[in-house]
Amino acid sequence: MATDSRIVDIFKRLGDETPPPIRLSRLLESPVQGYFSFVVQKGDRGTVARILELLGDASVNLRFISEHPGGNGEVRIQLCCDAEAQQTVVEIFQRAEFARAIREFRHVDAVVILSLYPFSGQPQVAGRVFAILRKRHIEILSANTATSVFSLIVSLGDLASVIASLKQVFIWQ
Amino acid sequence: MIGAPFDIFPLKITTSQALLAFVGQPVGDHASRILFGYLHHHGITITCLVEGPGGGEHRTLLLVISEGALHEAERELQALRTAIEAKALMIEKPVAVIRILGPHFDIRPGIAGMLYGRLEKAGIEVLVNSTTGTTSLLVVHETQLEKTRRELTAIFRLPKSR
Repeated sequence: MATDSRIVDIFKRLGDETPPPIRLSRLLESPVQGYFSFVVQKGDRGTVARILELLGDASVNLRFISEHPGGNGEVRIQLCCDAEAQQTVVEIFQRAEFARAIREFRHVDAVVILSLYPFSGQPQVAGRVFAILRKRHIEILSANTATSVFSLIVSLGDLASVIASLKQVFIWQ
Repeated sequence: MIGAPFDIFPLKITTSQALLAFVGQPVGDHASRILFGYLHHHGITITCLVEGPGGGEHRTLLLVISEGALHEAERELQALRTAIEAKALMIEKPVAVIRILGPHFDIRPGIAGMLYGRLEKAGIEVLVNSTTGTTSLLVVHETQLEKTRRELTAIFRLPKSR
């Protein structure tokens, strides 16, 4: 009963569904990237280090890396490389030494990293991005934050829809 | 591949943090509005955020907030998890967030491999890595903070040691 009343209270606190737009200083688009995501078990984290070392040896530049725990002792990784390097990345992932450890491998060959500035930890910035894009059934492949920036990865084919959607809830130059 | 140590700006370390992992969250705007609306309403700032695939059609959302904010919100967290229909909520605390900011990191291959390899060999468990462009945020247990700091100062060159 106490939980139900708190849930109702949370819903009531959602506030206006169409608040005024938030002003951003800028929104940057990366060059076209290749996106890769995969899962390893915690005990196989050395595999991730090995893959990244091989990518470095092959001079593959990574503009985006996210790593986070999943359930059941999983570690989930997402990364982006410049589009021209993605075949090299694919070949590294296909090496026999990684076949056992890597699961749920996914490759999307044309994505863009969008970076919203400024982000100083304001939940409403993150909330608006997720809410507007998911309301319009636009897939966010991955998202993360760094110093002063909120970044998300979307497919190149969705880019125009993403920008149009973000313009509903943000203003930028 | 890697020659002289890379120069970085001073490490920025934020301690007394808590990592919240909402695992197995369905994709939907409603969950996002509830969770981030709650955080905004309570004035809770996000130190680090990572969101990604969670298996099947589900997603995983990780937030790092201050331990103080977690203490204030802890009684409502299970209700929040239920409201956003996440399968599980994992909490790790205390954790520290380490910011590594390096000029031109986004055009220098091999840094991630060097960093991961070194931390892995040192037995450091990186709970979350959030890297975009020139900045990495690493989340580690506070018990591993000093060890992590030592490894990072061995990999990178900080301004005062030049």
